[in-house]
Amino acid sequence: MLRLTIENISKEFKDKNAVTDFSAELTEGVYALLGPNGAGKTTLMRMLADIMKPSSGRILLNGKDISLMGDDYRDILGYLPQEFGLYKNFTAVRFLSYFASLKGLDKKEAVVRVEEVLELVNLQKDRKRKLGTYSGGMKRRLGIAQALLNDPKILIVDEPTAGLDPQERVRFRNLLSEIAGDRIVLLSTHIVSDIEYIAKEVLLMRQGELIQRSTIEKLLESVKGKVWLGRVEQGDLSELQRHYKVGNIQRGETGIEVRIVSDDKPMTNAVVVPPTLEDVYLYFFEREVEGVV
Amino acid sequence: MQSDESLIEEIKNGSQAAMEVLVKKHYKNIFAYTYRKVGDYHLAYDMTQEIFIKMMKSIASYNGQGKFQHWLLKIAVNHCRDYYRSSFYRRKDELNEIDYQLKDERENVEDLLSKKLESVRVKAAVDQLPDYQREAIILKFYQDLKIRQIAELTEAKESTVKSRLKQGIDKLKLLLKGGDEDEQVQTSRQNRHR
Amino acid sequence: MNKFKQADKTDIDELDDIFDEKEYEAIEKELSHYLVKFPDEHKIDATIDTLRQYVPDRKTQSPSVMERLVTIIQRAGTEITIVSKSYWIASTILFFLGYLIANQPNNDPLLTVIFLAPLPFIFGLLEVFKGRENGLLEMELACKFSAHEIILSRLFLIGVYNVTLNTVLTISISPVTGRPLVEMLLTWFTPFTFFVAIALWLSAKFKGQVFVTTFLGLWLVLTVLVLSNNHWMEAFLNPSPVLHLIFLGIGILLNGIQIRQLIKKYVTYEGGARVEVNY
Repeated sequence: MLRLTIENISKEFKDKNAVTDFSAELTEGVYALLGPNGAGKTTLMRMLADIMKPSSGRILLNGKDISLMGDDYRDILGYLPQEFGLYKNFTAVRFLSYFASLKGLDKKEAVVRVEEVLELVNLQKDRKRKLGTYSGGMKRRLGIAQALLNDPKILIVDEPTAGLDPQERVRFRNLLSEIAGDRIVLLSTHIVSDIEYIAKEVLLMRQGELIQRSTIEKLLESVKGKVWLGRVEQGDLSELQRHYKVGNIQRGETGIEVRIVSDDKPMTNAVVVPPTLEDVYLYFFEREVEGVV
Repeated sequence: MQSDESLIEEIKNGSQAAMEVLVKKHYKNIFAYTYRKVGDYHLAYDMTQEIFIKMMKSIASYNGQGKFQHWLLKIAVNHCRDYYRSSFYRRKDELNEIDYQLKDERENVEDLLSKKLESVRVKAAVDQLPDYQREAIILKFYQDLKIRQIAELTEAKESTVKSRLKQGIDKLKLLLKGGDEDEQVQTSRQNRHR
Repeated sequence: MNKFKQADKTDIDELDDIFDEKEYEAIEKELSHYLVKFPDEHKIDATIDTLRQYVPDRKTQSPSVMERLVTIIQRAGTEITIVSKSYWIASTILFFLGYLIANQPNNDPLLTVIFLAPLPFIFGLLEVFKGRENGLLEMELACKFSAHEIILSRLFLIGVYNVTLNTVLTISISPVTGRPLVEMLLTWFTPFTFFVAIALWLSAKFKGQVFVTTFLGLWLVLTVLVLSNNHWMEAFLNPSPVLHLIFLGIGILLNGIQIRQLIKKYVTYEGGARVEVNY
């Protein structure tokens, strides 16, 4: 049984508070950290990866402060930062072998493990290619492979789907649910479709604070009856957007169909529709929805 | 009693017992500072624990320069300041408004029975002081520090400390003399929630 | 006059220019009514129990420093493969170049060694900070064998290689100079420690290219200055033994300080991130 306890952690930088009094307890399973850019997700994840120290508060793994565990913690940790580089002249195998050695795997173990993770992320075919020739998606997958090398009990991945094409996103989602098993997986994203089927719980973060923590079903439940579909004329659209949180806009022959998240009925012809995670996001984070790149 | 320095030496060598002695020796002092600064018992208890965790985490870097007590008190001063700076404090305080009222009323009853009414009255006045003035007053009157020491601890100029003390005392005099108690408890609460 | 009184003034006196004594005592008395309700024994014990894990572990503390050092040195073996081949080749070429220049009749061979000695090290530092320069720092930090240890390992590797090269060079030219070997070794080693300390300091502050250019600039200015001035040349080549030892001591001390700073900097992300490449 794993228990990662985040106890009132805050992180201040000179000019701002990136994370404020964040508390949560995580056990085995996939958790999604959802929030707009600048919400403090990366700072929180860096603290969880123990590469940044909280200004106050503690992070405990089964009751033990991770800052005291040192390499014992890093031994069971897999971490993929949002932005990372690679040694361009290395092949995938050489790169992973090097990281395997950094993670303390012995040579024999490493050889086997490198092949395993290459297969997991579907890069066997490109194992001998120089990393300089890799596409963005391939680099990202290699990064994930790196994080998985030591079969981590705690896997922290920051915006892992950034730069992946839709097909790769689906593959990544499957990969995550495949490897989740008996570990704690925390991934951050600002794209809701990434987590739709895999997250055991969603942590919503805004301006450094945890504003909501819940299962996807409950989140959907919380906006039930608040999602509307209606038709408007082009001329009324901007007025509508000023007063309501408007999601999807679809232009058709009979006018414009808009999706609105609102506590009360936005217009007479509006009908309630079942909510999706996108609506939940819109509900909590104003107009900060970002499309799939 | 063993000196702080020798206790710290033992802690660095892994002595749990020395840690226990050191913490017990300073616990009340730190708790008293924190309690008077934040005005709430439960919060003060949690924060005192956090202050001691900070102490333990940085004890390796304590080099024996300056009195340990002041070094520790400085951690407490900074920790309390951080708390007041966090937006969480402001939000939490709004939520606890009702708690406060209930608690204060209950305390009032208890205090009527004992002779603690006076304490409640002074507490209400101290709670009402602006942060920096309250900090200076507590360090001066309850921690018995010299102005020079307060200046060192709070990283302010001596003249600044002096004017904080002066303004604080002036304000206290006003609060303690004028008005009746109920009104003060009220304003105190409003002040806190701002 | 007043200055004298200040030395032993009492609490009340400290504020006597603001309040009179009675006033002060009154407020002090009033404030003393403020009582604190302390947590009971069992709550204090709960805090103490929470603190227990922060007491350093007696057994694992001190030997681990030695063990760490050993792993860092062992690790250097693996790091050889990470340092790019062109680095090894370039430094070896530099070594032969040094040998050729040193054997020219019209200058002191020892002087050549003094000024060539730091060069392989400077370029080596680029390899030491390769992770940082390529944006791998954050991933390295999260590994069991962490970023600062990687840096120390490579530093050790580069250092040993550099000193070996220079020593071989010194031995190869010793027939020409006819001086005792130890004296010759020390003559280049002392300035070398200073060069290294400066290089470490610069490399912690600036990105690769900036730091190499800055260092080479400094190095060139110093070289030209010394070569154009017979006095200075003399001072570099034949320092008094006492002065020599003092400078050697300072040089080693400076390096110690720089390495400590480096470790501190690369233990967390905050320290090293500023230098990391942005993209």
